[in-house]
Amino acid sequence: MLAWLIKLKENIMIAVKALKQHKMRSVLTTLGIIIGVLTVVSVASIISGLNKGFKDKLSFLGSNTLYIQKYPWMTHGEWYKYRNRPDLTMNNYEYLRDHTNSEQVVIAPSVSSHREVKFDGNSLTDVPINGVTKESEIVSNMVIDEGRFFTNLEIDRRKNRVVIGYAIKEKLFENKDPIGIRIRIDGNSFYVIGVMEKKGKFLGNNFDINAYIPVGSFFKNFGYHRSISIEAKVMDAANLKPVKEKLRYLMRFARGLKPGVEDNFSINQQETIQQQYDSLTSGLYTAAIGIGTLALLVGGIGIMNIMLVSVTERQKEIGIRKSIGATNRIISFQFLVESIIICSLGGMIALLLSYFVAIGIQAVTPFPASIPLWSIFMGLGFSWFVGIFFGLYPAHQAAKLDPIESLHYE
Amino acid sequence: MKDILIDLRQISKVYDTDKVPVHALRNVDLQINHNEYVSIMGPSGSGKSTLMNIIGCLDTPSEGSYLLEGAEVHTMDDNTLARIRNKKIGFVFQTFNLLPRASALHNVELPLIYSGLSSQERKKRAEEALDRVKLSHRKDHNPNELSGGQRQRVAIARALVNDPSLLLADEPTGNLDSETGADIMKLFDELHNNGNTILMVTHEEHIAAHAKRTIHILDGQIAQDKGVE
Ligand SMILES: Nc1ncnc2c1ncn2[C@@H]1O[C@H](COP(=O)(O)OP(=O)(O)O)[C@@H](O)[C@H]1O
Ligand SMILES: [Mg+2]
Repeated sequence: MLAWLIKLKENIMIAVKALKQHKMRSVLTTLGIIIGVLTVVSVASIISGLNKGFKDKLSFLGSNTLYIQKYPWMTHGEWYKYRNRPDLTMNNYEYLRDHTNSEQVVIAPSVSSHREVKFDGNSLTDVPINGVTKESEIVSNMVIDEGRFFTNLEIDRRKNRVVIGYAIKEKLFENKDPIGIRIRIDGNSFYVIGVMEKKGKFLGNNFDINAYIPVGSFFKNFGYHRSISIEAKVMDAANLKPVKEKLRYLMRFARGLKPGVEDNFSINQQETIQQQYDSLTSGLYTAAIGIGTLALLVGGIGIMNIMLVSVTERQKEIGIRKSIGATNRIISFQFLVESIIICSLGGMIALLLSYFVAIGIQAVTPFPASIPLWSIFMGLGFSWFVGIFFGLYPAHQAAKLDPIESLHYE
Repeated sequence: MKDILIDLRQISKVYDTDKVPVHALRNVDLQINHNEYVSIMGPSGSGKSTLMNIIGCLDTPSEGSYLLEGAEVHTMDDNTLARIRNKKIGFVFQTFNLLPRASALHNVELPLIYSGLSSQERKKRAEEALDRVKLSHRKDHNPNELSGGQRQRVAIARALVNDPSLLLADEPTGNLDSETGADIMKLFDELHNNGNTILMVTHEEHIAAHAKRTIHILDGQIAQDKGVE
């Protein structure tokens, strides 16, 4: 064991010496390995960044929530087809609400518009104002931090009351208690009755800059002519499919669609995006592994070629080493170590570069790119594999050289 | 008392070339005892190097048996031969055959690396060996910074470092001027006096004269064997 370690150390030193002697050649040789490992690791880091962002984003869309809307989330380049669909109305919403069981599915309308919000000289522009009902609290998982949510009466009476997001409290009121204060939204005055719990930022969106008012008040102040979304939270995930079918049936009925006529609305759900996303990322992975494998193959053949050259160049050295007692196994081990070192060098350069790629991605996109640990091991593993696989043949050629012939080689 | 180190019986070596097979050695019988000092002479192409290579376990005979300290070399596999070369044989070549990009010390250490010795032990023994050939002061120099005679001394130190049973030298002075050659021969004489067994090829009479026994080879056969004890 100790003897092997001693020989391994000697072999590593021989390899390092040989690489130093042919710096340029070594770097060129590792190019294929670098490209291969870089491709795989970079794509893995991009996708892991995407995944992280996507999962967070997706978690804002409840997995049990159905989104009944004018447009489908995933179109196949036929966007114009959906433009002529009639708007979704409050009547549609009320029809659905009145014909479903709220223990099974809770339904809320969703409508929003960006408006200016003012208080005491401070103002915020482009604040999303959302029209809500009592049900929105359940459907959108709203949690109140201070004050309270709307009562049924406030909703029905279309009161000018507002629940504000945490960031609005911070920015408009400079953290003073806003409850009971009057603010202006697009010039109309509203009483603040509650503050939402802090939600945080994601992908450049600050979810805490949002204000919520009764849906009736929304239409009264900002106009009736707009298409709404209807959000339906299914209480038991197992019921998602039948509830979706039921809602579809009710919607068709509410919108007077005859049998055989296509739906003029879409029922969207998180799953649709997830599927689309999964097929996109698995496509990317496949492409990366394809390109990576090809580059590693080319790199590997390059390594084999260079190692064969190296064996020939060092035939005399091999002869000398054999004449003083190096076994065939030691000689082949020596060249294998050299090939592995070249490849690990390439792998490590690639990992270093992919670190910069990750930083670059983070800088130019909103995605939190990261290098997943498994991709580092995979990158190093790949380069080791290439080093061993393509180093075996040259190592074998070196080992089987005849000592006397090699000694006479000039 | 006779203490047989090398025992060759009916050794033949045939090289299969493209045209005709070359009979480099024919039915050679040879015994050499411990502590002998033997020179081998003969015209070029007579088979001297072939004989040395077989004795040095670098090559294997086509026929015949070879016992080294009683061990049957002719039946050994590559690995075992490598171990014998490492432990029992020290080979000195006409062209030195040092690693060009390694220091004198590292060159001398090499056989010990293949014996699996720790680096302190290696260093100690390699320095001792360099001391024996009076080159301690040059241990950090690479071969290209050394004269021919100094290179051959490094090679001799490398051959001695593992305390081999047998020192083989194939025309060790062939690449040296006569003065340097004489120095090297003085070194060999000393080594013999210290108990080393030496087998040396040369085609110079005065070099051969250092040995107590001289073997003449002609056409792959022993033509004369003078001075056998
Ligand atoms: N590898 C080889 N292949 C073919 N013939 C060889 C080989 N090595 C040596 N010979 C031949 O064997 C004979 C003996 O060679 P060698 O032992 O080198 O002679 P010496 O050392 O006495 O000059 C020569 O005729 C030489 O040409
Ligand atoms: Mg010769």
